[in-house]
Amino acid sequence: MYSFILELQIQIMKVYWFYYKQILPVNVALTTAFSMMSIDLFYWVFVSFGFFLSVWLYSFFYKKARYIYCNLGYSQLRLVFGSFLINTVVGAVFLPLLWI
Amino acid sequence: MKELYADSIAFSYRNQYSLLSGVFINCKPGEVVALLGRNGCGKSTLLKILFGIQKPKNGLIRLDGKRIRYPYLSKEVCYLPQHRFLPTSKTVVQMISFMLKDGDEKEQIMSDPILQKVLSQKIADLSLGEQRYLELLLLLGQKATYYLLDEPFSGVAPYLKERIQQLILRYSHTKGFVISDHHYNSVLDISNRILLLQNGGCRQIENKRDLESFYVPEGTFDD
Repeated sequence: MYSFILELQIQIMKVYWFYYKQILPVNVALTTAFSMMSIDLFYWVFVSFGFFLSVWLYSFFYKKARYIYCNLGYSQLRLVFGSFLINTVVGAVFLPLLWI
Repeated sequence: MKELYADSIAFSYRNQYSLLSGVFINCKPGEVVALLGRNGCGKSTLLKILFGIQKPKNGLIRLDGKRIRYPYLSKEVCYLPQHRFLPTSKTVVQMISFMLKDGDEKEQIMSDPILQKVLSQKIADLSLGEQRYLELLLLLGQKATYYLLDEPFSGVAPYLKERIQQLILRYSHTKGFVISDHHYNSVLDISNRILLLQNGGCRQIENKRDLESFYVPEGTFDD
């Protein structure tokens, strides 16, 4: 039972991670551009504006990708929420690097 | 009772005439339903409504007796869209390991004679037919019971058409299929029920001959 739940969790994370990997390069590029004014903004742009703009751009320019996730039983909202959490964690991991 | 059932489906695009009005369609496991109709009559829209990604103006969808708003969230319904949907930057192996959970299922697909040769290739480098074939195999590897296939044969080479037909027939014992395609002969060969979408409604066609009255020219099925 425990291994089944674990396997299920891994599978769910795999889907979120796959989606997140498509968003990440766009987010990094956007965030870098927007935080040119002040590096202090980097984290906040990365976890909020940059992320949501990347999600919008991805779903606008690559509309067909939604069928992959829908066929796996994931709604757009669920995907965005899951990858938002991953993005927050990724952002938090890299945040201390900005102080170095 | 296992069934994908939709009734009174109505749909119209903004400021346009009514595309679908009171459509009834159902599919049970073991059935291959051919959904035929002219260009722009609403076949793809109907399939999207059945999948749950297009909101109808009116109507109800029942999945195994339960009323449901978004059938795709149940993982019981899969949809093959008209256009390619796999990311072109990924390789065939990457997509197989991403979309399939079951190890046996993965191995079975990887040992497929057609895909075996292109496993390490990027999706972008595959032919249109190979991409359709891969998409279909990936969907059939899901645990869904109902499959909505939108033009699975279009742009596909004849030998792949046959492979796709064999695949559908192999899985049709346990799964239900609704297939729409302009290549009606490819669909009719494997279907056991025909529906014609016409003037916003679905008409049940008893046999190929009846199609001559409504859809294809007289004498099409003479021999």
